[in-house]
Amino acid sequence: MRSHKNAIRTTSRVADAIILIFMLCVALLCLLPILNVLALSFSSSTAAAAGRVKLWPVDFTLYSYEYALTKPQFLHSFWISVQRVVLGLIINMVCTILAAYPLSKSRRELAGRNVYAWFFFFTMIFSGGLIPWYTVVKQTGLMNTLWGVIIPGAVPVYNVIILLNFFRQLPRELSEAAYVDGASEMYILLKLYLPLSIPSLATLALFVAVGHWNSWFDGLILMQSPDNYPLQTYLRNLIAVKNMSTMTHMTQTELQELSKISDRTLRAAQIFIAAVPILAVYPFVQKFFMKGLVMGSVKG
Amino acid sequence: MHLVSTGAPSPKWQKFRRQIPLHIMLLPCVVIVLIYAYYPMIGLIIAFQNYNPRMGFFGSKWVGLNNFLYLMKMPNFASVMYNTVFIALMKMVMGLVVPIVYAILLDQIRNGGIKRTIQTIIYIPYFLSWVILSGILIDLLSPSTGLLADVFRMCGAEPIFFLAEPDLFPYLLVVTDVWKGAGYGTIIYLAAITSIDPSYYEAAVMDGANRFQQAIHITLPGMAPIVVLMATLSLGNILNAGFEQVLNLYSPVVYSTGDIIDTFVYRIGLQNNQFGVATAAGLFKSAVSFVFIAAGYLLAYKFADYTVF
Amino acid sequence: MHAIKRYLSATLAILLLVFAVSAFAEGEDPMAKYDEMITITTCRSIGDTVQTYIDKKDDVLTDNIWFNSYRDELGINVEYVWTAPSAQYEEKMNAQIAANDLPDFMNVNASQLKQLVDYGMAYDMTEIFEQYATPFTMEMMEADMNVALDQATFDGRLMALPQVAGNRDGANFWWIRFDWLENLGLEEPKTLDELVAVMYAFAQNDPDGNGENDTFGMGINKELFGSLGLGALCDGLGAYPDGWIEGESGIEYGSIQPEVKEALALVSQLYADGVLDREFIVKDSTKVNEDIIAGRIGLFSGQHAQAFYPLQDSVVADPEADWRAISIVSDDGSTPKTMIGGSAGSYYVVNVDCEHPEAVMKLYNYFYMKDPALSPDFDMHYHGRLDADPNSEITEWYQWAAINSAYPMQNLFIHRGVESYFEDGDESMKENYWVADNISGNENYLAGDITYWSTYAWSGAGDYSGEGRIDYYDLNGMFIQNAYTGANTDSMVLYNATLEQLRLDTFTRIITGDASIDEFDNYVEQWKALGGDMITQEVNEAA
Repeated sequence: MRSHKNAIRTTSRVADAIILIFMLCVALLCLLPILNVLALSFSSSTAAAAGRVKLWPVDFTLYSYEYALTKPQFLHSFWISVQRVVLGLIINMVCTILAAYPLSKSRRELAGRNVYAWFFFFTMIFSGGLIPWYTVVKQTGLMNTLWGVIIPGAVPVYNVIILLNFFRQLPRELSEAAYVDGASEMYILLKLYLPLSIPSLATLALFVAVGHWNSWFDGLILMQSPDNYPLQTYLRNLIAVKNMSTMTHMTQTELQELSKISDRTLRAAQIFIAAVPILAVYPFVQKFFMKGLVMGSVKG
Repeated sequence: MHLVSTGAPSPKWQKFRRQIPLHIMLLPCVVIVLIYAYYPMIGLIIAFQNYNPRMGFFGSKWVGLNNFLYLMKMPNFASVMYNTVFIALMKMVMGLVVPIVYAILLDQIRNGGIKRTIQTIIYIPYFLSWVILSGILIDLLSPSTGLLADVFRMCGAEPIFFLAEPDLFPYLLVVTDVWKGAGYGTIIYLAAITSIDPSYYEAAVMDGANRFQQAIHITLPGMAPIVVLMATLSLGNILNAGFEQVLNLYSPVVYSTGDIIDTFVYRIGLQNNQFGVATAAGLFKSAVSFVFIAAGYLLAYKFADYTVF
Repeated sequence: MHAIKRYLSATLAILLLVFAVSAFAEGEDPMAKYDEMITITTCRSIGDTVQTYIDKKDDVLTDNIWFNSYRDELGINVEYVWTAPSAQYEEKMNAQIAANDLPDFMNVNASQLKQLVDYGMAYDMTEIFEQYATPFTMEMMEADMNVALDQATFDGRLMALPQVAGNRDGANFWWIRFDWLENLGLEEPKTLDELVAVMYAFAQNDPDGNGENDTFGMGINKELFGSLGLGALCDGLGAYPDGWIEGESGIEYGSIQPEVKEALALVSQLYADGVLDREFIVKDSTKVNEDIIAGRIGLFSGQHAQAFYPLQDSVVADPEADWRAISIVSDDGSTPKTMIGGSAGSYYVVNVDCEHPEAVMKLYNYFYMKDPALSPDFDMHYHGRLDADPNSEITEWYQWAAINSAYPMQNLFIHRGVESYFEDGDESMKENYWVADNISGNENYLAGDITYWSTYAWSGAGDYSGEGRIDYYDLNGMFIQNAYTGANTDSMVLYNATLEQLRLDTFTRIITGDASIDEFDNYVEQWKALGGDMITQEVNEAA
């Protein structure tokens, strides 16, 4: 009996080690690209232009960071992105919760529940495309404003579907008991559902924040001046590489700007700075992933 | 004579009144979706037009299904379709399986610090664009100077030029796609694992189940609803083989296995903004996605009595 | 056919000139000021330099010498409806066109111009140009044999004002490292055989002397054509894959000619012998530029602008690198010719709903009045100041003009000025703003400042700078004009995507040996069948 238990423990230790080593290898592979970007950002631009930088800086310098962080446009765009994420996060989460809660009810509890569900789902698959989207945003007076990149996408249907599934996994007795006690739907949502759904809400909040932080195309199309660009739209401009095979028709200006293309180190620094906030957010979200957090609180 | 409810409201009305708050909650979302999602769908009619911006949606010339036919008559359309579905299917499967495996394995790691560090690291590549990642990959996979080539040589093997091997290219796309996205995809499953009732585990431990058995018998079933949901939604990607990734990694040498609908349409559109053709391609993709997800939804409903959304 | 067209456009130009002069005679000043200020809207792209200036002075876009003069002298108030960084301008413009939300006039590329014309969104500028073009503007057009106007002409109607850049700058030549030649005891190649020998030597004989087999014979990128591609090599063989040539049966497409087959055979031989980078098929120009800067490539088909990038970086990374521009070489002792095409890089289209289309023409004239140093009304302050400190002051004023368009021979003119200053000591050259700017750059380099190497390599005296090589071509009749520089025809819009993929696919496989050279004949047949014949027919009708 005892030896059997020991055997289990040993195999389990071996298994632990294998799992750990495997995941460490995966992590190592995932670390490569960001190390490369980091190394580039700390290297001299000549070394970077020659493709000599791999995982370790060549001719170490802080110039790129100095330059990037003192560029007014960069900081300005950074600030706009922060505003966008905060506003977008609030609006998206409110809409997600408001839509997911009723939809988590059964057909009996909510008349037309399936009609609503398909009504939302349909927009996840079909969209009118660029032109009418632009026109609607313009007609509703949101052009060139931060609201233009937030309001049209205020209801993230994908997230609504995920959240309603999480809601449905909550013990039904809870809401029914509260209901019998005369609690309103709003009360049940706010006081019972939300506290119990913290991990899933945190996950969705992360998705929303990442989505807003990363999107660039809407910023380009809806903003009428680079002054209003969110960070990723601004960065896109730096990443888009000029096609060197069509250099025939170049104005004096363009010729001069050619020499700036090789600022790959600067681009790397900016990419890294832009990634830092989103990387920094994750560990906070992880705090909500502690096993047993949810059900424990139900019982307690 | 028949009964007329006078004083007390009918049960039907009463039932509806109970639901009013729920309908009110949905109202703002319904309005936003109507304005910003349904109203613009008028634009889909471009797919059947020779769109002229000056004439607008209603003044442009109707061409019936010509835009769709134009796409389908392009040489190589069949092989492009095949590539797209082949690559997308593999990505769908791997994109589903790998994050689940990661989540379960991460769940097994006991040291919280290491666990969270690994989690954070595997989440990073998601945030780098394909433009950047492809640059790194091309270096990494270079048969002359790449890291991988060194490994091959150490093992006494001849380095392979992965990016120029048509037979290997689709798999390379899948592997690198997993490399980029699996860590991020793990998050949702971690959240699902979190919401499993710990008392199940306690009971299992009492029964003498080891951790592997716990993972199979408790963690996996506990994640099942989310897994089914994610699987169903991923069916919509049947024609999404990853535009930016392919665009940045492919070359004429691997066109035969690497060219997909999106890159194909991109090249057509590049010549001249062919709004009609581009919209037709988009509509076609949407319709296929819709059919697949709807089928998944019905299957789940019929065989598992589960409403996906 | 084509000659007739040239003749016609020349005649047309003279006629227009007569018109313009007679318009003056009647006392109508094309540059007359509006009694009441009018407002014209437009949009613009913002490059890095412009952005730094905006950071210094945030209203500089509309409060500058150009915009103030537009208001004071022309009575035109120009407003920007939107601006976008230059790298994203094209994409933004596509969306604006699609949504039919356009300002009074805008700068667009060739394919956007074609769309705007097809959609009926472009104002027909034919009469306005006849009436309002000033004699000096006409002179600028003729400096390029009116090829820029041709590019903007659809069915005989002028649908846009070309932003002229000059067609000679499209010339291909070889950038080659003379230090490598010297290390290997080789001479500047004068024939194709010598050039090929240099390629083999660069690839196999360790030209950089580092003891490693890490160099390539010639730079080549996965797109195959244009600069960093096979351009100069093809030119030397009389193959013009990217253009249209005058054939026996009229205008013919370059890529399907037997000379191209010959070029491909040579390149596939080079590839088979390991002279080329085996991995070129995945390398775009950025990656090839890396190899150039890292000292792995010492010879490539290039153009003038590469002096600024990547070669400036290459010289900074390795001051020994002695890059020079040498002529294309032929295989049979004949004088090779490089193909040059259109002159306009982009176009100013006037919105068909614009109420004052002539105002746009006035802005166009105004730039030519004030900016080219040859103009009788030239005023240095509009172009910029040489004495200003570029780090703290806004210097390049010409960038603020709402419309700009170059003197087509500008770059060549600069080089000639620099050359007569350095070779003949002609001090008067310094009076010209452009030339003076380059003279000082050249002097800085010669005084030892390596960061000015690009100016020296671009405009420097002698035949070995980029513009020097173009000057050499010009004097030795080494240009061949692309037989078709007009807009994309309808069939091109329909079939080009397929045809270009077919070409890239076939040619790449031939080079890498995945397909035999005879696959080329198959390609020619397919090209014709998949729409090429229709395109050829349309091109011949249009020319």
